[in-house]
Amino acid sequence: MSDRPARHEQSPQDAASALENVHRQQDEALAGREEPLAMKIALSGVLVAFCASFDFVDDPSIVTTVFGVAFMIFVLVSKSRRGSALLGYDTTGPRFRSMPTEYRLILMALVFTLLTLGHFAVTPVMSFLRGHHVPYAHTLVGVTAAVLMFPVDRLDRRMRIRLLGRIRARNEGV
Amino acid sequence: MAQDGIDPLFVDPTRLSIMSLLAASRWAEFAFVRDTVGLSDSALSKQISKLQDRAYIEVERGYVGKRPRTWVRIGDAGRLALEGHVAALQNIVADSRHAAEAHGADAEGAEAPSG
Repeated sequence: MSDRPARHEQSPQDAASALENVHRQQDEALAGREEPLAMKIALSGVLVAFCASFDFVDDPSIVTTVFGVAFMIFVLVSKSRRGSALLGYDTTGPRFRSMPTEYRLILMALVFTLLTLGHFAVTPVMSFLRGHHVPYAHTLVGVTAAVLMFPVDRLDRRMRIRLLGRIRARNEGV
Repeated sequence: MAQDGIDPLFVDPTRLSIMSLLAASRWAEFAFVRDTVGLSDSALSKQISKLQDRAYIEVERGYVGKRPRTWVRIGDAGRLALEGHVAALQNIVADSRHAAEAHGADAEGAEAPSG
């Protein structure tokens, strides 16, 4: 009898390499799709328009409602096959149930932290700009946020892939 | 047995890559899978046909504007088979690690001075 594995049997080295392959592909998909350049430009334009409208529209509640509804429609469309293809995405997004629970919790905590920090950062900036009678203060903040969106998006995806790798390594005790 | 659950179809690394990618996505476009896995159109079509024959993946064709598009996603049978395959791979690696540890402990015991 030979010790050589049968045709479909996997040696420990083959198995480790196959697992690495599985994890690499899954982490790439779970980290989420990268925004197409056209979509990044469009989204930053919408962000600027949203912020700028506070400088030009008397009733901010109308602006919030209109953009809120538009955002919900965008999310729904981007989750469908044809809609996501029309918007330039190559997948309808990662499968939420395939994400490790720890990863989901960290993402939610990060979003919450960023929103809180954003609120506390923007409020004094807006007070400062208003105090110094800077014209179109909202538009200025919107343009700054839109410019920041470009590098942050790419960095965000890399960080997600690294985070998924770390969670997996810790769960498997590697 | 550590080899239980190994799916012969997934021994091929390309098919395993396709399935792993699809397992973490909802619907993916043919071009996305092709570019991510690094295959030609015809090579990916062949692999997709093999996986589709076993009902491991679902394929939908349609048009966006005038351009034809093909979307693929993993099916329930494919997900189960992949989960079984990955569990089997993990068992093989764990068994090998335990065997190496046991071998190391035996070797240390044999080298330790008696009395």
